[in-house]
Amino acid sequence: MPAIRTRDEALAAVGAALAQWTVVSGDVLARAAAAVRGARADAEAELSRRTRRVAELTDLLGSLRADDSRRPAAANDLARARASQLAAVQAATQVGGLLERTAALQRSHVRNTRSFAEAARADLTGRGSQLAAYRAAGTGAGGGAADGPAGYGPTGSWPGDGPAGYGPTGSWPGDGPAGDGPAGSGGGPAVGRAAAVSWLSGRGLADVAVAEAGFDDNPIVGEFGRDGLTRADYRWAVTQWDEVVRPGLDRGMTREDFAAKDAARGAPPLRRLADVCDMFLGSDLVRVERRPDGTLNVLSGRHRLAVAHELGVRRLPAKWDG
Amino acid sequence: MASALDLAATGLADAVRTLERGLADTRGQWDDPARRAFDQQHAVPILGDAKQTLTELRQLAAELAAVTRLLAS
Repeated sequence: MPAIRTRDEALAAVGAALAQWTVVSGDVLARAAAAVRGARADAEAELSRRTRRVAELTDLLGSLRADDSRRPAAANDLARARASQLAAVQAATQVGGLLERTAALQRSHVRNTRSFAEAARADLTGRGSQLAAYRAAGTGAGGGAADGPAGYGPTGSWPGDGPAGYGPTGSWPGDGPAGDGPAGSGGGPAVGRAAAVSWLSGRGLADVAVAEAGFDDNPIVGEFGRDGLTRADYRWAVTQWDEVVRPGLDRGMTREDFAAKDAARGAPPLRRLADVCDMFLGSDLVRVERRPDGTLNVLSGRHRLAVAHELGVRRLPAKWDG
Repeated sequence: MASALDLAATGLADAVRTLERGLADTRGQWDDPARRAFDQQHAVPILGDAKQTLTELRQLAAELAAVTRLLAS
């Protein structure tokens, strides 16, 4: 790794590390899936071989007369072959299950890594743009030439510090001004990858890893959910969020688009996609904070996180406090 | 059969270490509240997801090894 001497280089190095992780981990998961596919092929071939062996021995036993002296040995061979065949059936079934799980792991990894890394890179791009704008404005100590570790700004911190330092909140993607990226990023139409992440960072939100969210110190007790919502309602909403709403937002859809879909299919209450949008991006956000010891403290959204954990959904949008 | 998946798990473990090192190496020149916010929002979830994926891949490798033994028995 080349020496990192400036913050620009640090930003680039973080971006490079994330890009490398995305490529390498994706490749490894693809190889893992290929390995399990190979294992399934091997298991099925072995099952076929043992099944043929059972058929051969069955035929042999059937061809022997009742008083044939070879009959006991053939019967023993057939019993062993059937046991071996059964083991192969079990192995093939288990490998099939492993293949499904490996494929699911690969899919979720690709989806999560792409989302996480794109959000991080968008953040880095925004910070780099802010740095450039700051220099261009000549407000950095020492001006544009001062690129060293202490040469940026009077306090040494980035402009727009912290998770809430981004554009307007409360509006849906496409509703607000075109330049809903980080201040100083140049604005312009929200298209492509920037559009895909703006619905998240534009609200000052960032994904939280569901697996990190433990709340043993504040467990869910009594009736599940509020206002009569059941666990099934939560499971439906979290599933729709992960499989329909979030991918739609990534493609630039808005709450109004989901509301139109709800209207078109006559969706009943508690089964509306627009409500799912509100559930995760409305006024009652999932809110978390990092404790000094590094663990995650869930301030709001335990039910959503618990259900996401049950369903294997790995990330939810959250407001980070502190 | 299991060895290929074990190799994949080892490769993923290496990639996780490389990512951790790549992020850590930059702190010498970027270590301020903004960096900590970046880590909290992005780096920590990415590493958490990476380690969870690694755990699951190792589990799959162990189960595949068990299936291989079953088939060989």
